[in-house]
Amino acid sequence: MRSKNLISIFFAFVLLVSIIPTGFVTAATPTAEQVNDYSLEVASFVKEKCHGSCENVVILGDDYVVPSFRRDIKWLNWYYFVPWLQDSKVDKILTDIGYVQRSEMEFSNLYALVTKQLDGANFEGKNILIIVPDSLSTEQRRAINDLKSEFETQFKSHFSEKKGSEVYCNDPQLWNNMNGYTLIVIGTEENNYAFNCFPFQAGLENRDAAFIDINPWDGRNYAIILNTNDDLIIKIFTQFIHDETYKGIRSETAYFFKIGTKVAVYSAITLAVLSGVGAAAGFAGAGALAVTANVVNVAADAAVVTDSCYYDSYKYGESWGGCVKDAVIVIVLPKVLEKTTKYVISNVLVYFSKFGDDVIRVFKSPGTDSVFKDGTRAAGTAVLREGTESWGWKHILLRGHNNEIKTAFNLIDNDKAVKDFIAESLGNGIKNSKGEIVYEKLINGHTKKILIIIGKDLDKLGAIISAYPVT
Amino acid sequence: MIKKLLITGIEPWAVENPKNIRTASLSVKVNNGKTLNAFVPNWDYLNFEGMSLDEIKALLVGKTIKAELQLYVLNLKKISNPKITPNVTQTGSTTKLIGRIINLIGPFFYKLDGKSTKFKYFYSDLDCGGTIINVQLSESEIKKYNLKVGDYIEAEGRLDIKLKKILNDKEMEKDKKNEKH
Repeated sequence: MRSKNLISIFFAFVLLVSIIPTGFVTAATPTAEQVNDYSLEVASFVKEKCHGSCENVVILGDDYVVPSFRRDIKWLNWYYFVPWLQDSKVDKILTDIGYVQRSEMEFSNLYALVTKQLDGANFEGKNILIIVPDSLSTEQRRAINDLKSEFETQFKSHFSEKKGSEVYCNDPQLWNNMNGYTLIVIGTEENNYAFNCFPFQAGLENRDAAFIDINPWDGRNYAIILNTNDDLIIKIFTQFIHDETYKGIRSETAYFFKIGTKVAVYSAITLAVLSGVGAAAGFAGAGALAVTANVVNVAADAAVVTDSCYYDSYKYGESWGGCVKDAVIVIVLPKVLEKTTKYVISNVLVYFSKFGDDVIRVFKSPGTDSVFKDGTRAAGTAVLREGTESWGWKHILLRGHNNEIKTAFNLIDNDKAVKDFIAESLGNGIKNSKGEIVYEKLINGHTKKILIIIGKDLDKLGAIISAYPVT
Repeated sequence: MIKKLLITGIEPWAVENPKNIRTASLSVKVNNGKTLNAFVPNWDYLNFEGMSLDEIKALLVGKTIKAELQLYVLNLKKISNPKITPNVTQTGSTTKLIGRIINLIGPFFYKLDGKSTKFKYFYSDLDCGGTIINVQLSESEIKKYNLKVGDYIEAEGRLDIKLKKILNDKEMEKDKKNEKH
């Protein structure tokens, strides 16, 4: 069975090599970053083909055919005749570390990963070695201490700590010192050399994300890797543990997007957009996705999404989704986020952040255009903004139009139902000569009508000024 | 029922900018001297765009208009105790009324997307203690409450005003003379 797998991987490799994009490998001098991208792609391909069942992977061909991963590694040098002397130097190496079969462990298994089950419901915490940057800000230190406390409370963990500068991928002593430990690695490759040993999780493209992988110094234990210098991301991860959110994450990765104080709005939108992005990022162009009204139409209601988690099991047949915590949106996908997807999500965030700080929801609205803060237009959209007592959502609430809409259209008694109905009306209504959107619906034998007044001024173009039922 | 009403004030509701009031409520004096606030659902059709509140006030306040007061009903029920005094009370943007049905005009057929449906409705004028307010009642509501002329109903909703005509100075003068006589 295993040899069958190996054979199939070999042929898959041959196929892959034969379809290598010509613009890439034929480039006279590809950059290290280009080579690494390709190397990681190949590694993902191998992993995909293995389905976790490959014990060994045989690579046929040299670096020109199957490029090795380029990495600046801090090396420890020993001197044969004076073994007590050693020094370190940073050098670029070609490594096959990317092809080493990695963890399929998910965050939902975190409990099993950091504890040992005793009898019955009793358990004891495993030893955890936390590897942190040499220099930490007060906030980072506090966040890390809180994380440790949370692990101690939840999992009875026993902690020891190591500085990032003391970690070398090739240090034989670490094979003893780190054996039997679950690792928590925090920082970036710039301030924590342990990241050299985690090529999949290192790098700017993986910044502000949490991963689970094998402890490279002990194949039986795992490592939790937080690629971030941001204390807020560490705090959010701690919250994940505290409120047991991790139990719902059937993935080895969680991406954190810091999006400012108006989290609810943008993150709600992003989470919703993700349903489109996640499925389509591999096929559609980033720009196209970021600006289509179809994408914004799935934007969920901010109030509902805030402080709640989305998990969806049908997109990939695996868990994807996310959470909104404080000023961070956490996005979870069943696999390492491709660069394209992350780029799309980032772009979408930028896109929505352009609408303004008071955006509640963006609607698909074929009859209207709305405008960003920077003046660019989004065709086929309308925006519900907080507004004031004279326009927007505040106005709708103040004047009781929300209750009128609820009663007239027999809606559930909550604001989300009203916003959903506005979405339905904008999507299906007709634009009248005054630029208002009129939508009629038969409710219990009555024809009910809603009028939605849309902003015309440049600073409110496409913004909902008012909405109320009419006879 | 179209009545003559005196506009005594204007309160902007939805305002895009000071020169673009998108919806407003009018204070109107009804026959019995009572002043009511009524929302103008079709304000945009009055073509006041580009005019400030002061300019609109100059055009409307103190003017007599021909208009219909209509309750956009949110809650409706029949009252079996005829001793209850018909009246109109207003709290914020909500109007509550108790009125006697003085006529039922219809049936009309509801339309959806410009096409008639099988569903019918009636216009009904309610005498709410001297103030006549119109409500639109569906056939199903009439059947449900077995409503007929002379019955009392209690309703709560948004009081709308449907402007038909603003009288010009000559018409207003004539109106005043008629009142004296």
